[in-house]
Amino acid sequence: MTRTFNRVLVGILTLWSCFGLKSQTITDYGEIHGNIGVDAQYYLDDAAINTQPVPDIFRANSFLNLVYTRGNFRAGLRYEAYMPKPLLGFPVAFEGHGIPFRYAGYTLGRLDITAGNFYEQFGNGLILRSYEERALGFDNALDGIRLKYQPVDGLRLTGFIARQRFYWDFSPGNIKGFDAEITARELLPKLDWKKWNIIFGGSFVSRYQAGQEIPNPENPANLLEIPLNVGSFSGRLNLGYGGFQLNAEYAYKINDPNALNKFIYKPGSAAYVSAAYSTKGLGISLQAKRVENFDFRSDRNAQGNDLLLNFIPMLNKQHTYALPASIYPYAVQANSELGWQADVNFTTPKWWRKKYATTVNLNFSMVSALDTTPTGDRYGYTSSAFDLGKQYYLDANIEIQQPLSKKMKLSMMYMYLWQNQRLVQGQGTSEDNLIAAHIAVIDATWKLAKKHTLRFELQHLATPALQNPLNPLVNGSWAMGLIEYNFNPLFFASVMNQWSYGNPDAQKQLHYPTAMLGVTLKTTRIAIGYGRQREGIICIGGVCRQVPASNGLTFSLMSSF
Amino acid sequence: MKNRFLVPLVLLGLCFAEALSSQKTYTLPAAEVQDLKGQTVSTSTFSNEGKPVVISFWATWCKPCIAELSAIHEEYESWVEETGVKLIAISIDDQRNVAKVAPFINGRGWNYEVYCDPNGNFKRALSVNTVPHTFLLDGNGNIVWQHNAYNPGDEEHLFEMIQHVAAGKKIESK
Repeated sequence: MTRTFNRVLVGILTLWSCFGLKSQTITDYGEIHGNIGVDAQYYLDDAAINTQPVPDIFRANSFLNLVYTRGNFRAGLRYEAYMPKPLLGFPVAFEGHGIPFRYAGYTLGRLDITAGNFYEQFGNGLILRSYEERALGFDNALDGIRLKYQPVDGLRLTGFIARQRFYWDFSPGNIKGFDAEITARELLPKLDWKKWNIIFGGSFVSRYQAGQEIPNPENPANLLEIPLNVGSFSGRLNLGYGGFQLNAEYAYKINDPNALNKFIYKPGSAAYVSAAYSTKGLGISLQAKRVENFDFRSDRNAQGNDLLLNFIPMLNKQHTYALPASIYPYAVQANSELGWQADVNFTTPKWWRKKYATTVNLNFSMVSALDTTPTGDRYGYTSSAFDLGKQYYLDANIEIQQPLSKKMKLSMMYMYLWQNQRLVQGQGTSEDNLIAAHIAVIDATWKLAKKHTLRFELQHLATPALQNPLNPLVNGSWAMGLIEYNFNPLFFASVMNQWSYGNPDAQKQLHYPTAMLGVTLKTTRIAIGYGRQREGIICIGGVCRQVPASNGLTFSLMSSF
Repeated sequence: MKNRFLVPLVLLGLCFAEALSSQKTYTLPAAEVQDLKGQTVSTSTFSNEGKPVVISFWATWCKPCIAELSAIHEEYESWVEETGVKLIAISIDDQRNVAKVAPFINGRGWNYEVYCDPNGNFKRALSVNTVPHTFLLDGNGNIVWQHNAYNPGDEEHLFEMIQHVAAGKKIESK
């Protein structure tokens, strides 16, 4: 009886508040927006590509984001569901559903408060970056309280205390962070800055984690003294003058014995510098970095993509064509890296060209390990400041875009790639796997008529076959072709095939065909696909995920409102 | 257990659906982005003196985005002349590529107002799933039209919408 009464009461209250809100003017009750996504796959067996038997043959990853704003108040949540199990390749720990992300925040003049989940990046991210990369199943959101305060124009302070999301749980470590940034031009507006622009920043991030018993490798009868608090600091400078821009950051971390550095006591450091110049028609950038023992996580035992606190920017081109992007991708080695990159963009000036401008991008990057000497003690090793150790990766590429007519546009890319696959990806092999590959891509768009477009892609990767490849299915040369038809803005259809014709094992010379159909309705996109997916590594923004081979039917829906 | 929450949940859902369907405005949310000098700027300062604004989310690695912004670049001067529109390009490149954004756009001679959103603050505030994603704002800063994805020729439709908004007409469906 009381239960029924309660239900009626709750019902009346809800309706009352609902209509109460409705009766006010529309702008009074704020705005609700959000987005929703579903990625589903029905898995089929395919012996040729070694698919593993899947117990749940239909799986879906879904999410719903809601953001509510009313004046200076905001609140939001994200519902996630990985049912009955996450798609293959996503961490199995995601299994289940719930609301792992929710927050409320308020802006009060120069003060901004967030309680609950939030994402944050200090400077270039060297000591703190929390973000989400949904396509990879990566989310290291912080959960706690954050204050942002601007006491005067040109000075920004940020502070937080939080724990990190760990699938459906939290990190064992508590994280505290503080950042201050000064924009000189805003702080001292009366000075004559001419073309100068100067920004300074400094940050501090620390992790507190309860101790644990780890035997001392030198003397297994004793335990290691594990620091409970690990602090990291960084300072940065952003200097601009006209078309020149310089950005430098240096970060330091006190001893942080952890699973990935094999519990050594050496402090870590990271340095990043970028210089750029650009003017109409020409842009040049140079970047360099040195990273030593700088894997920083909210749990000293975490590995893989789990509980990362910082972000080491990769210094090589972010490729998006299938063969250059996913056959031999590079992955950040946060404990030992020395690398640089040069990138040039230009467009042919009017007096040079006939009718259509040619756009050219030249890019070169190289990454090596540090040159280190083991010390045999608890500090692990010593390193030289700028001497190179073993080379990880090299990438030299040129990309040209050339419209041929109003209706025909052409893009071409050539890339030379070199990689020590064992160091970059490999575990379990003792031999270096040295890959050298030449990759060529042609991408043509042909506008057939108003609203009708055809797009073609041809890609080729030429590389000698290896004796002991890390992955026998990805060995030797590859070819790929794609045809895509678009009926604007509503409908698209594409057919694609990747072919490992250069595999030394004839049984493994396979075709990976896929077909896809999709509809775009304003901000909703629905696509269904069918085909074979190659085993490989998908990398987005510096984080990579191993995707197993699969065959089947895929469905995806994305919408925002 | 399940029953106890069912009635209020259904009612709340109805209430929510009702609120959403009667929602007439979509104002630009405030978020912090960076200009090309690295200076923090709030999106609440975006304005074009009562004229329409196009906000285009893109990235240096996104081929359709580059195709869209290149196509608009060809026509941009005449668009501005006719409607007074301003295009604000929001790069969602992360720290790996932020330093390359200014050389990238200058290298192509683009005249857009460009900001970087390296940690996705603005992207999340606007519920952007994938790039390219284009928003059209009327003179009062309300989002009146949006579209995801780009195919050659889509820019013609966008310009029709801009002309519509510049003439002070309403766009039927959001």
